[in-house]
Amino acid sequence: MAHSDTLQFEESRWDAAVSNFLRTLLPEVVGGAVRSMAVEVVDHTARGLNGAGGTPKRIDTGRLRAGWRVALQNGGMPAPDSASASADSLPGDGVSVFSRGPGGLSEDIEVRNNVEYARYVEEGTETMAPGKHLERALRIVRGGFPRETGPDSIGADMKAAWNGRKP
Amino acid sequence: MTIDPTARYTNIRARVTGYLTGLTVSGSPSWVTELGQPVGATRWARITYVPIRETWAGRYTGSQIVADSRILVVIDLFYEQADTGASVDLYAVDRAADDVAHGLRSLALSLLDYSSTPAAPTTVSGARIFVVEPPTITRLDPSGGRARRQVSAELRWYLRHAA
Repeated sequence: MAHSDTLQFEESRWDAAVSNFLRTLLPEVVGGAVRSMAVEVVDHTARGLNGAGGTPKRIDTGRLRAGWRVALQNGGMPAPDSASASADSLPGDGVSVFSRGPGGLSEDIEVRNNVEYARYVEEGTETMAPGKHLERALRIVRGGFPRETGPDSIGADMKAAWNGRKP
Repeated sequence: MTIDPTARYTNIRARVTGYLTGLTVSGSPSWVTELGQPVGATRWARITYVPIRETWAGRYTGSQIVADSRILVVIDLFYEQADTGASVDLYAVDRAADDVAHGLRSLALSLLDYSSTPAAPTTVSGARIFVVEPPTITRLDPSGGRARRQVSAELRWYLRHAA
C-alpha cells in the first residue's frame, strides 16, 4: 500500500512566530544576560576591594563597595554578597542607567559608582598604588565569553551566514 | 609538596620588574614598586601587579596540570610639570610612556626562578611570560604636582601544578 506525506510551510505563521520572538523573547533574553553580566562585574569588583586573589584590599568604611551594591539595586538587580551592606552609603552613591538599541535587540546598562574617591582607588595616586578592581573584574568577565571561532564552530557558521555566505 | 617555580608569583613579578627596570626610558625615571616610595626623585616610575585569574587549561605532563594565568602590570609615570619654575621637557612623560609601551608590546620573557638564589636566578624550562594584547597608555590628571601617564598590559603564563 502506498503511503505519502505532505509538508506544508505556512509562511505567514512562520513570520508571525519569528516576529514575536524578535519583539518579546529575544529582548528579554538579551536584557537578562546583560543584567547578569553587570552583577558579575560588580561581584568581582567587590571581591577585589575585599582583597580577593591578591588584589590590594581597599576597605575602610565600606562606602565605595556599598556604592556598587546601591547601583545594582537602583536598577532592580540583585546585589552579590561580596558587596555587603554598609551604613555609610549616601544618596546617589550608585546609579544604573538602561538604554535599548534600535529595534530593542540590544541593551546597554551603565552601572555607576559616584563615590568621589572611586577613581583614586581604581587608578591610584602618587602615594597609593592603583587598585584596578574594576578593570580586573571586566577582564575576568570578558575572559569568560565563548570564543568559538574555529572553522567548525557555530560562531563561524553564524558569521558566514550574516555575511551572506553559505557556511 | 614542592611548589613549581611557575606557581610562584614572586618569580613572575621579579622577572617582569627586572625586565622593565632594564628598559631605556626617556627621562631615566627612578623605578619603584608598589611597596616603596621614591625618596628625593624628581621623576619616577611605579610598577604595580594585579593578579587577574587562573583557569585550568589541561595537562602539562603525566604528573602536572597547567593553569592559564594572567596578571595585569601597571606602570605609573610621574614627571615634573611646567609650573615648577624651572625649564621642563613637557613631552618627556609622553615619550617615557611610549618607551614603556614599546617594551611591553611584544613581550615574551623566559621565566626565571629566584627562589633559591635570588642574585643568580635559573631559567625555568619551557616557560614563558608573554603579553595577551597590546598595552594601553592612559593620560591621567596630574597627581602630587606631577604629570602622570599610566601604561598597562595583561601578561600571561602557564602555571604548573602537581596533578
